[in-house]
Amino acid sequence: MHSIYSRVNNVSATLSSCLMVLLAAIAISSLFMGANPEGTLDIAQLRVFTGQTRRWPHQRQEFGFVNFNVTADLTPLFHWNTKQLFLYLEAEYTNAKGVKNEVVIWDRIVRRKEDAVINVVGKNKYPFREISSKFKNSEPAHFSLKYNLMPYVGALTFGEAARTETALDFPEAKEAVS
Amino acid sequence: MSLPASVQQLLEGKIDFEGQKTVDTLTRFVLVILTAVSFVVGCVLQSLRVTFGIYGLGVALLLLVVIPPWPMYNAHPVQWLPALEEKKTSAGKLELRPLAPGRFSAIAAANVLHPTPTPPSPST
Repeated sequence: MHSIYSRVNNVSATLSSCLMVLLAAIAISSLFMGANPEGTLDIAQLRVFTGQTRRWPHQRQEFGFVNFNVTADLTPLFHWNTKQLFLYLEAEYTNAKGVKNEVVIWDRIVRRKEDAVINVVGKNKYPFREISSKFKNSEPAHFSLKYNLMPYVGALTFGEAARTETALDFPEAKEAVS
Repeated sequence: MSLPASVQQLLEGKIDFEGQKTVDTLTRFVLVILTAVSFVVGCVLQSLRVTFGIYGLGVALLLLVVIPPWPMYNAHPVQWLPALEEKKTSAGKLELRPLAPGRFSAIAAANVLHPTPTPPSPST
């Protein structure tokens, strides 16, 4: 501490240790902000059509088109350590080959508490297709609204806000919209 | 460094030992209290901005108080004892005695060639 340089050195060393403790405390405090928001998810319509993607131009595939209504109040999830919420709508089903699939068909990023009240009537943002090309003989699908809480400091946490009560069967694939 | 002595002294910012102890205690005390206070206030108000605002302000104030060599840190300068003289022995060997025992006797003692100090005699 005899010179300016050594004082700056000492203060910055203690400062960085204290800062680490502060950040750890903030991260641990978010474990205690338990919040379990509940919402509703209704699937208005699920249709299957055949089509092609640009990636495999010669392979005919079946695409699912989902129209849904989702409402949820996610404001309890916004505490001081919440940076943003990543919401995603997943379709979960087991296909004909017995493989369990979880497909994200819609997502949203929520950055502010004011935007955390979800009331969406929408359709799938992303292509909903089955890797084995056909939805035929798949087990009925459940849809769920899941969230990923991204903190400023600390571990990512995940949760589920809403789920369809009854599973939906995949209808027969149609060739064209008619 | 080849800066002029006055600039070098300014950049060095020396403070005495009492001052150093004060600065050390103050730094630790303030930083720990500041961490606790900023965490609690931010947690209650549920705002990270408040936490880091308080923390930043506190650190800025601390640096202002601790880094510059304020006169209060130089209020207890080291009391050096009067210098002892060199004495040539009859064999012509130069006898070096510790010049400034003070607080540094342990360090200065390492320079002693003859461990038992003899009282100085007036040089002729």
